[in-house]
Amino acid sequence: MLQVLAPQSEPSNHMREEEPSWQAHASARPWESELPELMIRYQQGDPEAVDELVRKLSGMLIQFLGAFGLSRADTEDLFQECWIRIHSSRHTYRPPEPVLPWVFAIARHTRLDGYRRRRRQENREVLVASPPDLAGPVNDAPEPDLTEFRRMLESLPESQQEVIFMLKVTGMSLEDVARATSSTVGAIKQKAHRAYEKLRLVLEGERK
Amino acid sequence: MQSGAGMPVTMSDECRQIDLELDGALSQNASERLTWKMSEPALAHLRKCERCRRLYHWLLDGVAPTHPALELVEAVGTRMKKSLAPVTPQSSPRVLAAHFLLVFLLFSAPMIGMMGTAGLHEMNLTQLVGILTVLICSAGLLSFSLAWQMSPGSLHRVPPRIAVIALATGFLVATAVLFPWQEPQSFLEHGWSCLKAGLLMAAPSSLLFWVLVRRGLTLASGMMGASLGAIAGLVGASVLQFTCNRQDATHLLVWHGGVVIVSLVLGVAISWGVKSLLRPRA
Repeated sequence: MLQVLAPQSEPSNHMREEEPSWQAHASARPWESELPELMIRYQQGDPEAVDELVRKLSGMLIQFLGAFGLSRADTEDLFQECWIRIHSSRHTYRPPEPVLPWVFAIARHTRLDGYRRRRRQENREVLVASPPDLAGPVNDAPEPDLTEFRRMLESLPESQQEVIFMLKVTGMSLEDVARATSSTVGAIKQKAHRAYEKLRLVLEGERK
Repeated sequence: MQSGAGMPVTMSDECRQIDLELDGALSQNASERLTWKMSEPALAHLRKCERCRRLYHWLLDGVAPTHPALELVEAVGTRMKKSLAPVTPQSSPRVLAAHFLLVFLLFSAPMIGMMGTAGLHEMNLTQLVGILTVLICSAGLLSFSLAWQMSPGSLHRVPPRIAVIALATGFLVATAVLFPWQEPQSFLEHGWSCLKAGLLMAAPSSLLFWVLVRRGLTLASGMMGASLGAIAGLVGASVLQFTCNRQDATHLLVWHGGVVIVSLVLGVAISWGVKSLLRPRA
């Protein structure tokens, strides 16, 4: 569905000639409906389901884990730890519940534990032998949209970053995000509204 | 509110209406959003408000996907397949909560039977109904809270912190309002024996709750330890409520309530201790 939203002023880099729709969200994961079936096969011990799940979800997971200013090495460590946790707690998924909130609840917990671990290490280690890796995409291909996206995301407090990431990148609904963050729909709406206010300011600043 | 350039930026009611419209779209899943339509007044506002239009476009724009290194993905898959065995899905949060409540009742009832019902005879009907309501509601709330915490991706109708606060507030208010405030006699002596007895009952019940919780430790945190400690402490406090003949507000709040508090603190401490022991070393 396309809505006519022609900008009155000069179109900026955000205003594409082709008006955007929620198509980008839907096309981000056309395979979403297959996930519960894959999870059932995974719980039954089907090795092909493991490959399929890892292939389908890894991109989103590594994007989520690396979206908060982590080095590549740290992101990859968290990514592996996250899959180990998913594997050891696969019995806690209940078909036919939505799979993404379940996966992201575990990913979020992995990320928070990793954050606490790093904080403890940083408190112990004052001197470093070499400068840490710069946060960046995990593969080597240039991804300009991601950099711009990360810059916008980093203008928000961390709890709002998480909510906006899940809403924008994974295409999860408000209820799914509430499930993934062990929160309520009301609290998620509140965080999203605060993030919108802040994003408006950042976008406004960018224009000026 | 200041803009990035230092110019004041005001959020009009119409801008806030856009946020509410976005809530409408984002309440649906990604495929349902394709057929979602924005209201006419909101569309009219978008046409004239550049800030809202930019935000709307930014939210709608896709983000380039990230592709992890193939070797990394293959390594993860291989590692998972090495220990791949069929598993039985965990019960629903409702069933899990029923299990917790059952343990609560199966543990408290025989204890009350063994230790006598001296406290029951000291209470009038209003006190009995009031405190029983608080104890049962708290046990139910904590049972559901634990069940939700055990199930990643489940919708928490009540956040775990609120469940614990509700228990504390309910007990505090019910005791303060329903029970008489009397001059404490042998306050420490009687109280200490109640605290010990309550904790001695909470300890074995916490083991039973632990047996139920251990399958859902994926998202284990200090809060889960607090909830587990609180429900175990509530078993002790509930038994004391029916067996202790000192039914004055000060004694109930300090010593019976103390059983829940000590048990909750121990739950948090044990959960953090276990977590730090299991933590991977750098």
